[in-house]
Amino acid sequence: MRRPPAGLLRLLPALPALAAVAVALLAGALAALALGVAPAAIAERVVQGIVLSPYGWGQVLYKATFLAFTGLSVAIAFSAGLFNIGAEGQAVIGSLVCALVGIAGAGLSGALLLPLALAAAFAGGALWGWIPGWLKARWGTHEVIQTIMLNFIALALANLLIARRFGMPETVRTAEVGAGAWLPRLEGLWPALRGSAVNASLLLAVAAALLAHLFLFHTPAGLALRAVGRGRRQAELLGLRPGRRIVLAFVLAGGAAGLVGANFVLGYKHYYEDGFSGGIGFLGIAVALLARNAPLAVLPAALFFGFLSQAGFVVNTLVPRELVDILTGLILLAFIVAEQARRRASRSWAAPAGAAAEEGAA
Amino acid sequence: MSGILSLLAQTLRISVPYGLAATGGVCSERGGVVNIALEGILLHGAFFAVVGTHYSGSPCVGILAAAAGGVATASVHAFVTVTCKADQIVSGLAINIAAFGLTRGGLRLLFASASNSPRIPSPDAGLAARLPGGESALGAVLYDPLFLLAVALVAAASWLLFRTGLGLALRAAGEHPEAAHSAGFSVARLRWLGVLASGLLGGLGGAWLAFEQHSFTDQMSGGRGYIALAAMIVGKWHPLGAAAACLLFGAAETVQMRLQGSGAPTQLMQMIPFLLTILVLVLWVGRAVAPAASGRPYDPEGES
Amino acid sequence: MESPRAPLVRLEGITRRFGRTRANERIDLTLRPGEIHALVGENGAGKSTLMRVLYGLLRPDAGRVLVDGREEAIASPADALRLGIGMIHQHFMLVPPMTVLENVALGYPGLRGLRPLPRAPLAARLRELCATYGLELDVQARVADLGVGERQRVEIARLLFQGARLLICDEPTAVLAPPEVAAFFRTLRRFRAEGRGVVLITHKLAEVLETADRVTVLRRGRVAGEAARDDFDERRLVAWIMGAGAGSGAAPAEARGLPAAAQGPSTAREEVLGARGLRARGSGAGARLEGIDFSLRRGEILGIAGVQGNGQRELAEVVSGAAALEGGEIRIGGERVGPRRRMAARLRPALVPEDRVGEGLIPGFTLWENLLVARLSRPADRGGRWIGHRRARAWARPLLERFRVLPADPDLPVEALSGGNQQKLLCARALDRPGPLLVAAQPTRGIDLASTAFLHGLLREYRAAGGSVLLISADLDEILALADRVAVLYRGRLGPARPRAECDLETLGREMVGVGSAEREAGRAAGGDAPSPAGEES
Repeated sequence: MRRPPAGLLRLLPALPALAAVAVALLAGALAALALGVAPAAIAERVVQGIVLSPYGWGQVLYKATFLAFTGLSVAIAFSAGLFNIGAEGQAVIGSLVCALVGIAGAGLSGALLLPLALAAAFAGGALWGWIPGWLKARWGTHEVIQTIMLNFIALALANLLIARRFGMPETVRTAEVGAGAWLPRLEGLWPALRGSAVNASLLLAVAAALLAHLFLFHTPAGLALRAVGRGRRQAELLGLRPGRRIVLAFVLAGGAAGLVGANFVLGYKHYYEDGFSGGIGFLGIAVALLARNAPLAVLPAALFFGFLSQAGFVVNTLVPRELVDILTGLILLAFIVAEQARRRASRSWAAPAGAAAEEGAA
Repeated sequence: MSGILSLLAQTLRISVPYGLAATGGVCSERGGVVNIALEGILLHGAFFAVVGTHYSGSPCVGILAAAAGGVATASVHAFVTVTCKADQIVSGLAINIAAFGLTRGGLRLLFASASNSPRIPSPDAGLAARLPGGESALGAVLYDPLFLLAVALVAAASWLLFRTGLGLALRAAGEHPEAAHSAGFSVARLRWLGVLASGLLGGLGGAWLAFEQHSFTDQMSGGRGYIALAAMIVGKWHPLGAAAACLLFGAAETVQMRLQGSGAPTQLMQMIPFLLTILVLVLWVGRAVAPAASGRPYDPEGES
Repeated sequence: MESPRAPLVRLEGITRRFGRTRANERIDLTLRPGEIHALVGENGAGKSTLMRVLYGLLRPDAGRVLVDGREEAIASPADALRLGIGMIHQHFMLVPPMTVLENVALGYPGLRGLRPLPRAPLAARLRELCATYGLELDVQARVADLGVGERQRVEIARLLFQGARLLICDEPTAVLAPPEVAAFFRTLRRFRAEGRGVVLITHKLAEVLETADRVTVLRRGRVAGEAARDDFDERRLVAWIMGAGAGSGAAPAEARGLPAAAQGPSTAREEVLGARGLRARGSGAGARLEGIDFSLRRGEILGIAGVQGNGQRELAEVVSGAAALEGGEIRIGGERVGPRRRMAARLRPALVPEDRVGEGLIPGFTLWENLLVARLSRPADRGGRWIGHRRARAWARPLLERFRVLPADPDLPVEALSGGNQQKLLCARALDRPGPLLVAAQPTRGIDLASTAFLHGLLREYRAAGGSVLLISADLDEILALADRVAVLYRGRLGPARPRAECDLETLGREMVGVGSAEREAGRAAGGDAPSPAGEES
């Protein structure tokens, strides 16, 4: 194979994501045609409803905020070599705890209650993340099935607590949290966003991504965490105590997912409502994947899936909203296939003269 | 006595989809492919069973449609993970997400409902009416043609994997693909075979779910594909062991359903299978060893 | 010698590239029946690649393969096996949880489909074959329970069972102890006598000189020389291997045979690392440690000789603090470490683990990350809570240069290095500060002569500066070239450490497979002459 020019090589890492999006657009257009809807009509609806509408952008940002938190959660865990499929459950528990603390501390001043409620959201998620981390580090069980099971348990548990203990009569939601804990909506800053739910937790998500980046790539603890992710055995022989790092990674991942509570509870509804999560954990996996687990890249990836999700909403009268789920699955499949091809290409192009094939084969 | 027999019958009914999916998981993982997509395969199997039965009026067609749906779904997983050598867990999750959307969207398009399909008839070969004990709850299960097919398939999978040269090769592909390749096999072909088998079994498992409820309901797989994978681990990646573990899960779920009338919170009861899975996986660590190469793509020309 | 028979296999103009690397460049090779053909060259010379092409594991970019004079497209091992070409890989292609019988049956023509395996007749035929060739094997044993030598016999039995006419052996003796090597070559000669062809890939020139009828030397993917039995000697081979003009300067004898620095009796100096009655669990294919005693002194290299799988991995893990011990104690840095207690981070010796890819270097990390990560567990030299990438690179570059890691670019991913350079990086990581203690397991396995010589020099320098090395190696040449004292590890037990001057290759070799240790043990213990661990006492 001939080596392509260097400029093209530098673009290589971005190609899988672009390929995946292209595949999704194509598949979406084909699906629309199959359903007897002109793709142009769909495009027009999307342009009208989102691209040209500040409110639409507000909603995209609001949805992206969820996905930034769950995407970060998955990305942090994956940096330690762990599949966190439990972001959904962690988000549910984090949000519920956040709401309960916000309600219990309703009398406190905002300066006290807001940090307290945010900490509660983080802690709730972290606790739910700690479980599979501890199970893996202490007992060696694989985290994939465990986190999936914990999702189901979290949903049932939250449902139980709302139904039996904390719910308002005739509803599936809690009471409102103290006003001191409310996060301001961004429509206050930019009135055109009026009506959209985007709020200050968007800034929190950006800050969280930045912190995660600095932690993973600029601190000894982050380096050790990534070392465990890429070579658990190597890390063990280096004395890095992989078990502890695994627990830490899951706690941080759970905490990040728990911060979803800031967006939904503190920023939007001001109460916890059963069933609000609706797949944001799974979408977080898609976000982290497209971002290739780089915390800063999680933000644009979350924006993309937020856009997709809102697009599904605005075209719902033309084609079923579920098309978005199918496209999400397709994007993931196309992405991992393209990513694999990229890896092979860069491996064969990057091999210098010294790295002979013979040793690799041996 | 009849109380125990009806408990047994209910346990068997609940265990069938688990058993089929877990055996499917065994076929796939023994060949080296982790198949999280079983959840989506179950969902598709159930959906296509309903579609096939609804439009043809014949449960037989429904069963065939479910098998075809399962195999088609599995072939996507095989293409992505075996042919393209991409990540097996992500592929499985992606397929599950898509399957969720496809079935729900299909429900709305075909049956104009967001939650459930019209009622469908169940397969009945008339065995129960003709054979002794057919009128009892237990007889109704034992003489169910799909049940008999499920039992036969589990036994066949077990025989195939552990008694034949092909099974030997499939297991080698999951333990040490380089060795299987070096012995003259195409690892890709073996793995495709294992994944397709899991699609067939999982699709039929989904059909059972649909016929049990006489309809398709949104998200009706309800995590059974994942629990089946746990049963597979408990059964030490052997079809018979996995089937036995599924009976255990089925029994637990039966007890849970019986307890639901007793006033204990429903949600607490709903958690039981999931808690049980977590617990069982912890207890089974070290007792069951996964096929050494499961989850690892095989790249014959790979340099590392 | 005798007139050459019609070729069995001819390779013509084989070319194979990996990215920019030309692993094989227009290689011609003729293999004849009844001939042992040695294929020699440095690592990366293209030997394995060429044979993987012949066995159908790799496709050539150009060139053709003729079998019995007919051109054949060998697209997979299945094609090769059909043509009677079999390969014994350096890393055995056996499925550990399956039995010997199942491994032999795997892929046998006629046993590939849905028919049930005829286990009983199969076992009878296999037993008969093993008896004919003198291959001692329990056909019902699980491969996972077998030692390295036995596993190799399984590979041989499988190829014979399939009726292979050409056997490709990729470094077959690298993992064997000397007596097993002798038995292996007896089998090879028997193949030759039967008119089968043999390709012997090896690093060891002594083996070539002793057994090969013909030799082909590869260098940088091309044929550097070819000769029949009477037309080559060691000097000529070395010249071909190292390239024209390299001559004697880098000859293996000189590279490896430097005298060990023995300034005064090292036993008089203080102990740096000691073990008393050390016991530890066995891991995987390894062996449990059953009462290990040794004492490593300042400025000393203590050689632990032995065939892999006899507790080397476990010993390295336990003394470097990566695994807990079950019994006994380790004395290190004036402190004692007992069972179930983790060794404090500041006490842990630097470690060069035996598997540089799977245990040492972290894949996907850059060179500077790989260097820095070793410091994390030592809080004293972690260097702050913030990692500046520019500073880290500036810190790494001189280190890479000092240890001659090429290319010395801190931002390269570690996969971009060749095996020899990866090993140098691993040593750089362990030796980046003058420490008192290093545990080095198989530090030069599978790397070329030049890198080996450089690494041996590093270890000597380390010792000269007062450092102590526990050198765990299966390579007796290496042990004898470096160690001040030598002890043999066999089935989880360590023999007495003897000064190097009192050791010779033959005795150590026998002890490595448990033969002949009995006489020595007799004076020390009341144990019988059985080589089993139960017969010994420590």
